[in-house]
Amino acid sequence: MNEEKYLAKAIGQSPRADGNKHWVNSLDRGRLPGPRLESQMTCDVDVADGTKCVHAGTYEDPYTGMVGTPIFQSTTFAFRDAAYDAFADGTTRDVPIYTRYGNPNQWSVQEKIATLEVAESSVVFSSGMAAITTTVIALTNKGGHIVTSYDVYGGTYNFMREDIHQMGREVSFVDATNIDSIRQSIKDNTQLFFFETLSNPLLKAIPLAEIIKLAREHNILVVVDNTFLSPVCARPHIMGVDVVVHSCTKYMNGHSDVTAGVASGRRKYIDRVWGQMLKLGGSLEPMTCFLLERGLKTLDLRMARHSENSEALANALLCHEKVEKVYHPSLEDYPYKWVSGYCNNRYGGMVSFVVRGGDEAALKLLRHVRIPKVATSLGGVESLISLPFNTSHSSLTQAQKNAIGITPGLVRYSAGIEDKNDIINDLCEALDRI
Amino acid sequence: MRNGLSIATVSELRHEVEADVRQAPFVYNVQAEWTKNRSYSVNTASAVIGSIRVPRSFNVLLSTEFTKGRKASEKEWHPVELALIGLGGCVMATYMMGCTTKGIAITDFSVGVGANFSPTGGAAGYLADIFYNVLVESDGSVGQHSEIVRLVSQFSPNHRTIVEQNSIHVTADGYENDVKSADISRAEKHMLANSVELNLLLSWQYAFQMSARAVGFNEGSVPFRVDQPKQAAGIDVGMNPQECLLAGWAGSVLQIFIELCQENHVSVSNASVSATGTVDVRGILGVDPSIPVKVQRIEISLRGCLAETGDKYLYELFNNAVRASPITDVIVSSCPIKVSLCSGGQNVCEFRSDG
Repeated sequence: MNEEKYLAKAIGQSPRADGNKHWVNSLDRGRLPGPRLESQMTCDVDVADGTKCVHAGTYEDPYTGMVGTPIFQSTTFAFRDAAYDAFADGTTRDVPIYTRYGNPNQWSVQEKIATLEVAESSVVFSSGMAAITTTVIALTNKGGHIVTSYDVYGGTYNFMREDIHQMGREVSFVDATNIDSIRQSIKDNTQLFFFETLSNPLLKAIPLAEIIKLAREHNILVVVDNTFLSPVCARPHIMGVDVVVHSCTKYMNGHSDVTAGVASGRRKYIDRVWGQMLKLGGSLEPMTCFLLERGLKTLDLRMARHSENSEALANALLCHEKVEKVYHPSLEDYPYKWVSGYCNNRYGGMVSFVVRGGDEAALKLLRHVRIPKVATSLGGVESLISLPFNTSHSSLTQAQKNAIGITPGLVRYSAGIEDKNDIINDLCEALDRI
Repeated sequence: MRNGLSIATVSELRHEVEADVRQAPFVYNVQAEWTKNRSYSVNTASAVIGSIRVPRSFNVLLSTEFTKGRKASEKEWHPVELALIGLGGCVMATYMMGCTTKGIAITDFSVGVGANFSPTGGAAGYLADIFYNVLVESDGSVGQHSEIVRLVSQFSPNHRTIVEQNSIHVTADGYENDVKSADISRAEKHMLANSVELNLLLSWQYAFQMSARAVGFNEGSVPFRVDQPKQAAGIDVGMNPQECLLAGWAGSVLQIFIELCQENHVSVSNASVSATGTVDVRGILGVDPSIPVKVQRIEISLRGCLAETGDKYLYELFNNAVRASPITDVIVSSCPIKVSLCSGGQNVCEFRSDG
């Protein structure tokens, strides 16, 4: 076996630090996308998403010809010369050594996600929160200031509010839809903006192009959570976002059977996030990587169906007498029109609405629906329904809920990939009965 | 990793700044303050590393006396000592990078740095006979270390700043001017009877982390830690060498400014001096020989001064303070540095480095 060829793409290049080098300018290694193994498929940028979803990153085993990535269910790998060199040079991300450092299953699914994001590199995590917390810690310093939104996901909000200051950073919460509010929050030590491309549960979009421009003016990094849209509906990295994070638990995997997260971006930032992940420990184990990679193969198909269903559902709800208000980016009265600057007219599967009669009526509704499961989470093939007031936002005070627009009777619906008429009929019938 | 440093990361940076020059400038900022209780301190302000803002939250109390004259328990540093730590720290970091590039594993490493300070009144004066001694044990050969120490004299930004001439930009209350070597009076650049010998020792710990002490004054003194931001392969445990140099300079100028105000019966409530400098890392990395290695775009400003006098007069006093600072002298003038190397238990080489 030609070890050098086999590991060539994983290694990238060795800097070849040795006695023959005169000075730093003679070091060889440049930053390459990846890490990748020789036998991994790569896709060109102009290939369609559906093709990328199926093929990008797949490990083609040269010995058996297996179609699809095998499962490298191992915690450790036999040392070869390349591994010893990697330890000496600091290139351990690129060589199979120990699964927390890197595993071919991680590299396969990372390559697929990086390809979809049009990013140089990705790193997967054991959960979306692991991705978010590790990224924020990795990219900020003690004394740093982070600007985020009042209505980020509850887990993110709690991390920012309760833990960030314990680590010597500070955070400001702003209305992310208001660029002036963001601008006014900037201080000398501001180094990171963290926002969501679509908020939970009211699906507010952010003025992303303006945010990126503002960040560049002040040398601030931009990290966005793109969970609600996935990389086939929006690619913030192309617009200039530095790192994009996802809870892969949701649309990326899409089958409500995997907990995972990912961060994608330029290799120099993702290498730093990876280095932080080594210390915090939220790596993703091989079997779960395999499942995630498998789920991603149908991401393009599923997002098309999710988006179609949520849009149809939103329009149907507009006409129902028991519904007071509907939140969906496709609707005429949706106020955040800048969403079209980063969404390709597919908005994912989420739709939120307010039933007349407050939370009591909403609770009754849950007893009458038959297709969606009454459960938290979102983004799976099955429709899910929940009430923010007693689930995702239950820890907020009434004043906090009011501040971000969570009113009594608010229902969050994650439209799955069932037949859209069945979903609509089921929900309308349930509304009729409350 | 060898010596705690990922040479792959350094290599990647080298290629990155060659491909994208926007990532090359590393801008450092400090602010020295004199407060109502008559104490001096200096803080680091946010740096900009390439295109990224990096908060820097280090604070050092400054003394008007050198360490050897003070009690062991005090944690203050004299600005001139701080600037010399900046020189030694930069030499140490550059040397360590050179060793790692050549695959040399360091086992023991220290840099002794010093100078003679000749006061001309208060905090003003001159630095002469600047030197540093490199003491290193490793698995490398004497020949390799001899080569590296000479490379350091070419590629250390703070070393080059001292041995080469520079222009600095001075601002205060809307007034500004540039100060060059010809503007500094150096008539008395000889040792005066009351000159002070300054001697500091930097000890290498790991990667870019090092600690500094005043020689002959180790008992109970608090070591000063030097490092790099994590965006530059450090772990944020201390100022970096450029910040040390700028901090010493800002502190020196501020001390002299306050003294001048007092001598001229100008009542001052508080004052601060900020200093900034930029290292284009294409220089230190040897990417482009046309790029200066030294610290560039060096500026010093008087800010937030509450005084009972007009802005123009304050500016004149400030300008005089800048010109009287020993650190200004070594920055704008071409000051030679005596370099020596000891390795493998033997004196390997000694040479004079100048512009």
